[in-house]
Amino acid sequence: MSSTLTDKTQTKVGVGLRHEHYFDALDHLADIDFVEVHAENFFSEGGAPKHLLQQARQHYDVSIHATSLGLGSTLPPTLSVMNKLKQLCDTLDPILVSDHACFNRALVHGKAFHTGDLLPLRFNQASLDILCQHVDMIQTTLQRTLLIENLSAYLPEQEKEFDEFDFLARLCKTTGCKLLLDINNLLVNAHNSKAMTIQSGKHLDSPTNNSETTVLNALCYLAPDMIGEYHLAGTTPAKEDEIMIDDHARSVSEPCWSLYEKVVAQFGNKPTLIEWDQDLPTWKELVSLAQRARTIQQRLSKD
Amino acid sequence: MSSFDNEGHFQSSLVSAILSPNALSSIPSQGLKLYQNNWRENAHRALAVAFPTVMKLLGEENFRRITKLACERIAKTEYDWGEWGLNSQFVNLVRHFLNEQHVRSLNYVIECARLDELIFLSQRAKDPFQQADTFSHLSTDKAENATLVLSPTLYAEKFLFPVEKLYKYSHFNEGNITNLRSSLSEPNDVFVRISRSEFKPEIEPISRGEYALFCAVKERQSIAFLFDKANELNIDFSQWLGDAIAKLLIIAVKQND
Repeated sequence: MSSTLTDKTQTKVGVGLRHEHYFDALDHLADIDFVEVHAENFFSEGGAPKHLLQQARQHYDVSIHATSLGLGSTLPPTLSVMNKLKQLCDTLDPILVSDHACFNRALVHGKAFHTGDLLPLRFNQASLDILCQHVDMIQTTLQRTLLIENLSAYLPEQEKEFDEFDFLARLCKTTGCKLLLDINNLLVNAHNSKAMTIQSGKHLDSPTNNSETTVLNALCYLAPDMIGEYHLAGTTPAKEDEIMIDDHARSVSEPCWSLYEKVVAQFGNKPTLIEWDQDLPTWKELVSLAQRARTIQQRLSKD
Repeated sequence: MSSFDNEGHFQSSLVSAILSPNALSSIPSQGLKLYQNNWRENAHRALAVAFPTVMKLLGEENFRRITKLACERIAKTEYDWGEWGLNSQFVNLVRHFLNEQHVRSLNYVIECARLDELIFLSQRAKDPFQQADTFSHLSTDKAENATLVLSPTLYAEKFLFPVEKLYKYSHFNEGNITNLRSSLSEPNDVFVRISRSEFKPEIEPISRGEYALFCAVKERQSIAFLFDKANELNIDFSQWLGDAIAKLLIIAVKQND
């Protein structure tokens, strides 16, 4: 199986392309390397979005980010959805293809329901086996390396056998897939873990320990070649005892930039994407964030 | 219980708790509420995209009440939110909602829900690609064995209210509201064509005769049959066919052996 991640792509930067920016992306060609689109928005047989994406494809590389496969579901992905994704990949020849370490489909009263959300997995062997099996299915179907994104989650940690990144590192080793490391999700989860501890009235282990150090320590299971892409995003701030929602409704936060620098210093340059899904800024402002990521990459590669 | 079954049980419990917000659950409430809220908001967003005229006519508050009903009654089984509520499922819920509210005077909204669904399907359908070389079959003498192929984006439908006028008034403020209001008091057959030659949907009124011809094409009746049918309906078949080809409503001729 050929990997689409060549050395040249390692320093690429891109932005999430949402429909509000379709025309701007074509009329004001930006100095970025790729745009990321959500696979499901292009599952229809025809229509304007597909046409515009084909046009954008002539100017930018494309990354396909799926949000619905739910590869950790005990129910396997359907042949129909795998075929739709394959058709999209065959048409667009993306530089990256990704989805999340999550589940979203389950049997309720004997019928398979899809929640349309990204639900957290339990980090145990059974769940790892299921995820590995389904990642294998997709990689075999697509004949491509899949990237799997770490999730932002809103439930207290379930009973587990592995730390999150031990679980994800094992996934990479078993299947050959790579990790899409979402830096903002790391911060959201660190915040929420603390908020849920406060809410439960439990004692915080180390109240002075900052999120950045905690997060970097959590990544100790990863090797540089396991990471295939970084995601950067911003979220609406939350109080210390409130759950933070990964709404992608703000500019990339300063803590996120700071953590990005440290992660790049530790794991090296990888294609980096700016995600912004709600209350979108201008195309120019969005692109400027990708330029900032490029500047960081260039500076760190000289050090 | 095997470890696989155990995961299945955990996943089913969480999904069930998200989809049934009134059911008792052992899952911590704040996080669960967030997922339940996501479910409703995603549902609202998907239905607002697919049924914009219904939302315009009923207002956001009522539309959210129907969305809540949809979350409870329409199973989401597909991966793509764009496929949820189609096949008349949401249309039937709008009908149910209006019946419950005892507002028969708003029955035209049900017809607009049907229109919205067809426009949505037309926008997502395969782009019409005309197979010009097949039109040479029209000049042969095998009209008994040849059929016309409709654009995948085309729907010809009968409605009980002037939905195309309601659509244009709701979204573009076009038309005379006084005349429109008077046409909503009693149901009357209205025939409408929904299609797109490029990407913008076209919603046009058609005659009963044109509707009958499109239905016959859809039923794969032969060109000879269509010709006779057009004569019977006092429609100039050559002109009708020429227009339909020019507007990309007919994309090919199929010679059946």
